[in-house]
Amino acid sequence: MDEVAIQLTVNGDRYAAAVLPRMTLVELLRTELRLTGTKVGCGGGDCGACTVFVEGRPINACLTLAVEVDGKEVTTIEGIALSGDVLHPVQAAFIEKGATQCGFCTPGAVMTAVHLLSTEHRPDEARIRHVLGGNLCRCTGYNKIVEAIRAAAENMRPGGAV
Amino acid sequence: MTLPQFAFHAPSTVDEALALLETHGARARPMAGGTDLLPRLDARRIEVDHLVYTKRIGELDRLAFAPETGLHVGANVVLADLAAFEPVRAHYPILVDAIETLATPQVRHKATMIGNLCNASPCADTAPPLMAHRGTVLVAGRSGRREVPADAFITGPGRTALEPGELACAVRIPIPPEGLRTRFLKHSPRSRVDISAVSVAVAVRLEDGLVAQADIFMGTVGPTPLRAARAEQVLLGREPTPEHLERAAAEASDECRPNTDFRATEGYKRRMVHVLVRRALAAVTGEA
Repeated sequence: MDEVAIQLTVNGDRYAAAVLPRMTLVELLRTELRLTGTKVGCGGGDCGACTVFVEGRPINACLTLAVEVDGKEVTTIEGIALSGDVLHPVQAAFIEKGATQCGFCTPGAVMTAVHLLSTEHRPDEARIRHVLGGNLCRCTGYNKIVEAIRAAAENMRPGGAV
Repeated sequence: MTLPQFAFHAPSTVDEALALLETHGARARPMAGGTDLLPRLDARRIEVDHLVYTKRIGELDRLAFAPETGLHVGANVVLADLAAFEPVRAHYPILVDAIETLATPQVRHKATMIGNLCNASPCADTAPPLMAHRGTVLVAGRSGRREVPADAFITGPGRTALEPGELACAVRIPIPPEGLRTRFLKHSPRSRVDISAVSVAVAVRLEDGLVAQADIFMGTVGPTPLRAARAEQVLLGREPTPEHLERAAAEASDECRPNTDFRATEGYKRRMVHVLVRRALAAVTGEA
């Protein structure tokens, strides 16, 4: 089976890779690029642990072939912090509010929350819970995650500016 | 699990895609979002040697609305964009309702309406609203293009009216007639992110106080989305009185063909069809 040459940008860094068509984006990120912040939960697009941005939109990396992102920009949890020292308000709020227990769902939930707050200004609880529908958490019961997102929203300006 | 091996093709035109589908026959499948196809491939429920990726075909990206011709939804249009498109929110709100409870936000940024229809699950959430709006599917094949009414497109679980080598290119939905009122209701065990146990889409139009148009479709309660034809006959030409709505709902409950699965028993689904059809009909005939 022939490999396909792809080029992609991940968190601002350009990569070239030769991949089998069957390789998923989550496999590419974790095993080839060693970006293991993105997790594999269900492998089938239900749990959201593999949530990344492709061209700024949150999708399941387990349901995306690596060849699909040829020429595209990908953002993973490793690219969310504002700098080496400064966390994104969503990340800081997760820590402050205790929204993480085992941590496995956290990267995916943070990605979803970052996208939500970058597109909607101070969404209410019902809206937050609706958008979190694609991120399953077995530990927290979601309440602290929701609190963290609401707190982060207070620290962000309309338009998602931080 | 690791996906099985396949060759990946990314044609730039519909004709190139058709040529690939014809060359590779039953071992080739088109893919846009892949949100149903990849899990099925992963589970080894289908076999694909050649994946014909449609997302580089510009013609299939088209999402457009015109007051004379209605809505055009190309095969590559993702559900999130479709639900956010202002003319869809204005003229086809039940499509928005169906999309917003379909899968997850992440899936909706990748999945397509054409894919939902071609996957042809009895539970396809976009199907009842599309059928209630009398939509059609535009199909391309070697012999040219044809248009299939949405309510004839899904022919069985996982089966469509597509002939070998054909590609579903777009969905077209006509402009709703003046006075058309619609409602979509979906019932499932989980509050969100669940495949429906029962869904109902109705489109009703009154003329001089009598029902002039009634299109009632039920999802997940048969091998395909089903038209509640007997329920429609109860209503057509009559006043939408509570008695008639109740009788229509009872007919729908009787004519659906649910099975028992892990979401609900047959009896419960039948009962819920009765409730949802009556509720939807009351909403489109009674309220201001």
